[in-house]
Amino acid sequence: MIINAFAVIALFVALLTVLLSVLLAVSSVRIYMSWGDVRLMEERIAIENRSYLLLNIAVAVLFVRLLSWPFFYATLQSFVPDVPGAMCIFGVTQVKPYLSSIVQIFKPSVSFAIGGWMLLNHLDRTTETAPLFKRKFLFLFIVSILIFADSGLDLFYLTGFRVSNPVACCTTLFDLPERMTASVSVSILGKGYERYLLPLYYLSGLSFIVLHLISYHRISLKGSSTLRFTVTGAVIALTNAVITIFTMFEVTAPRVMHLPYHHCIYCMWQYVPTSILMTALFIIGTFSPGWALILDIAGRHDETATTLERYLKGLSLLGIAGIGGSMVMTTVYLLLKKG
Amino acid sequence: MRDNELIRCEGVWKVYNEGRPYEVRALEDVSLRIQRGSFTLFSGPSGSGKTTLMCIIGTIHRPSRGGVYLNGKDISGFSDAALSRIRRERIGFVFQNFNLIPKLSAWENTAAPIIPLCVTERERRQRALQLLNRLGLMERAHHRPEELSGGEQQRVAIARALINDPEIIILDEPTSNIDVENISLLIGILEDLRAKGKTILASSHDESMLKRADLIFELRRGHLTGIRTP
Repeated sequence: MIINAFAVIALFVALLTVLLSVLLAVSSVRIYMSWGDVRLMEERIAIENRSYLLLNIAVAVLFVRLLSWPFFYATLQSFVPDVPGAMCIFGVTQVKPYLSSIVQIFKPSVSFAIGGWMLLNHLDRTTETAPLFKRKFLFLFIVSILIFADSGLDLFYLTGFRVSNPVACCTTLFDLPERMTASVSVSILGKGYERYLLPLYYLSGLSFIVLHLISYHRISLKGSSTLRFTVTGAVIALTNAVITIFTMFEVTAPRVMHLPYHHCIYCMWQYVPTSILMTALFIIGTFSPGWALILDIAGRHDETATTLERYLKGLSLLGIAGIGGSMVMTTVYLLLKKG
Repeated sequence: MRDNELIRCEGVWKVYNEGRPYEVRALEDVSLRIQRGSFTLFSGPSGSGKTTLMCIIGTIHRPSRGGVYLNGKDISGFSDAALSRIRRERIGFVFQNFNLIPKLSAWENTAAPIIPLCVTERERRQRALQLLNRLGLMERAHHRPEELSGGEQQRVAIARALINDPEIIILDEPTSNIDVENISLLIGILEDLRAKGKTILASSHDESMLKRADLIFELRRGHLTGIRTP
């Protein structure tokens, strides 16, 4: 186990949140089940009073877990000098490659779920009779389980982190012609895919923006269903995410770093720290349509109609800002580092 | 809803510890209507349910049964968060013991309700000082509650209730902790507020208050026993 300030903070946060997530899961399921049996106003008030502390704990825990995602990468970055052979985060992840992959897939999923819950909770607080009360506690139960697993994985990963042999770093994987990102791109776009990848990236990004602009202007809960907009938005966001990730590996990272044969995103974050902002904007832009879909499914009620419409429009704008901002930054990098 | 009706209670009950051996029926089947811009008094002996009724109208408590209508809308089933919004935006409450925060000065106590509204400190201070000036407390603005007399503390509590420019002002036993001189001052302030179109609800036994009310509701043991005019 590597012990430094980052690891100690990460372990402390993981330990705290693993315990609190158990409390959240148990209490939220109890509130969910007792809310249905409420007959007297006194019982309702008692449940609401109990829910305040729980919701405060939930918001604090969820916020900490949201921050723990970028902090996880900061911790891995801090391990680089202690891992023989590692030159960037990728090398550190090769100490426990399978577990690293699981953690790296889990963290964005948890952050996405947390964002969705926070928006649902906020939407419910704008209503008069809290019609989403039961749904938000069921959702909180699911999020608590995810947080428990995420925190547990952090504890397991960090406490079991032992360096025995030198690791192979990014150059041994990302710089090979048969690297995964290149192979997949070749299988879809054929040889010479680099020529198509960048236009495809702009095409998908612009499609995302145009669709969300249309959604922004056309979304109205009074008329037809918004679900067609939110589902289409989520599908486009997912497609755009896949294309953007491939483009980041294949085109953006090498050009940003001015290393034409080095296709490592972790190195890009290390050498060009402002690219972290570009990645963050991309993540926010990608998550926004998903959050809109969650709200559209879980947040529907007569009382939420007007507010939900405003939220969906706001998320459309957030998606446009995120993806648009990320595209602008990418374009600036490509223009600045051209040649 | 009648044209000028602001508040309506229909069959309101408030039962504490319902269904348990130590059940308390604070209000039983209370129905009443209050007009916009009126000065309404609740009168009755201690334990008659005046404070409970005003707390229910003031959205601090929720009724066990029955409906409370504000501008024709039933708010009895509202969530606590929604009731807090109503209280914050539309109702000013002056408690019997004033409930001022001991560590804060008069102007800070006055400005406390607008802190959650993200109003800048400069504006908070300006609005609080304007109100304190209107209530003759300018020179006491920087004093803490313990340095103020009962009447001054009450005026600070009134200033705090008015900081959001609410349409309803509720005063629980406003004459119980102040002397005759301050009662006259209080009546002057309430007359001024009524002239500005505010709806005032208060509980009191004081004759000078009773004389100025538009309507008096009499309560006994949680029941509404009579309605009269002065």
